[in-house]
Amino acid sequence: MTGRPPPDPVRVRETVQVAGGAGETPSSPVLSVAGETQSGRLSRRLLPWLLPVLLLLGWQFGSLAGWINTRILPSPWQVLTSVFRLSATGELWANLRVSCLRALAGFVIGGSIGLFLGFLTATSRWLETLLDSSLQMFRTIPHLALTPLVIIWFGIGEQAKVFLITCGVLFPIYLNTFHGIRSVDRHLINMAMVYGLNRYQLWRQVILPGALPSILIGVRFSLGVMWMTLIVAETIAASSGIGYMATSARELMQTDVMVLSILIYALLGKLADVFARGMERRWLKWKPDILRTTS
Amino acid sequence: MTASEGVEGVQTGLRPEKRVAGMRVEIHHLWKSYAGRAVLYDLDLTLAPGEFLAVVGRSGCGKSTLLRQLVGLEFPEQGEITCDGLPLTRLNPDTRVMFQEDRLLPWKSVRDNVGLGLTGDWRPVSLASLFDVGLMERAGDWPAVLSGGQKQRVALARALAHSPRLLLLDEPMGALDALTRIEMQRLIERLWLERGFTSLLVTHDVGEAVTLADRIILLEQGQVTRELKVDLPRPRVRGSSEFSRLEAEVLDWILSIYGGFI
Repeated sequence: MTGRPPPDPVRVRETVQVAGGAGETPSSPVLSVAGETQSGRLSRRLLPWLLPVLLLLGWQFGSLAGWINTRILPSPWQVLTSVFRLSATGELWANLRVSCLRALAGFVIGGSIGLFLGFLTATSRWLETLLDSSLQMFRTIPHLALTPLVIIWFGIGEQAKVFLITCGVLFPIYLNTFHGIRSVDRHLINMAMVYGLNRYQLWRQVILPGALPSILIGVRFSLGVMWMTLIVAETIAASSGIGYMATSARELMQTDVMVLSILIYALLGKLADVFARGMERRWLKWKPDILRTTS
Repeated sequence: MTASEGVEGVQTGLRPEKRVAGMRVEIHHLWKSYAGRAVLYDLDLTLAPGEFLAVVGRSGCGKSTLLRQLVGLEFPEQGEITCDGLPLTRLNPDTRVMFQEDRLLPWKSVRDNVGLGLTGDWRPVSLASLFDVGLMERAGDWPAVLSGGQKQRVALARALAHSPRLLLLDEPMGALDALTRIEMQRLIERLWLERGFTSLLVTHDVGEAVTLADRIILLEQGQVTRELKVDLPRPRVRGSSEFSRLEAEVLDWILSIYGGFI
């Protein structure tokens, strides 16, 4: 899942020194102790961008040369101009805002319910027996299959989208919360009891932090589900939002707007991932694998 | 708080009174069984205040069960445990345990781990305790970056931060390498001598028992079957003839149990 391997701390320190020393003579490639030149490091940074940039240039060139029918696939430049056009009318921002609010509302509601149910079933055997098998049954329903029914229930209003996202987000968070709490090291709980921690302290200081890595995996997973559900729901039944923007653009054959919508979804997904990683770095900084990459 | 502030705190007397009155523990006719199988079998045992007692025995002889009763996490079916004459009916607040694993909370800094369960202004207490095990400069680190021996020293600091009057040591050196184990034994002995708490060590290592204990008992099928006083002067030197004689004797006990199986 991680994009690049964690940097070797020794090598990072050395190359930082090298970069500082090279400030006076920027043109001369200075050899670091690890045997890596400054230009080598730079190229390692830039290399991942090479392919996307080449693709983009090729795409633009192909469009200009007439090899690609711009009615079927617009050129990157056309997509860029559509950004300016749509943001000038305010259409882009309004739709973006609506989409984000829907996603957030569904995520908060579904996430809270999942977290709450996870806490309940993980802490009480009785509640687990009562609830878990039913929840597992609901979990097997693909939530997107509910879409036709949800449209009948709620129409194409906000509730429909929020409801679908809630359903999609709930279960990953529920499962991971349950699993996280149940897999907290019994030894640690036992130790904390011997050390006289009360129920609240035990929760706050041992069980919750112990379950957090698993809960955050659930959060990360459900963020993916959140965007996917939003796209489907907005494409099928909506009168606003990025998905609606794409659907209505299809009727007008505005391929540039359609491509733009796809790119916006990709960007939002990436943002959510960065957010989830940020939470992991902040709250799980005690974990050996995260310690290694940040120190 | 930085380490240097902590040093000042230690020097200006924020440090808790170190000397404690060791707890007197009496166990009378203790019975405990799990699923119908008796684990402790009419056990009688007395720990004098400030005594260092070592319990040896093969696995499954009831050592861990005994510790759980002494902490007050579980209660016996028959018989009773008294601490300074009072029957033990709840979690014993003056008792602390060191386990075989360090059981540090990985999401708390070393300092916060040592402060676990302390109330009031606990930070200076935590630092003072870390100072005693020689790890005050690691107060801000995560447990993940410490070595096994260091983690176990932090666990000792955590146990001692509460100024316990009874310290239960559940094979705390079982997982350490030989050199670290000797260091740890010396550290425990020094702190025990300084503070005077009562100590009960469960161990598989006969040499360790002879090094540390005032008295060694053999636990066999839930009962104390052998007992030996160790009167050697401290610090004890392994390899002296008296040390070796005692070590051989205790080893003999254990081997005689196994004898039936081999």
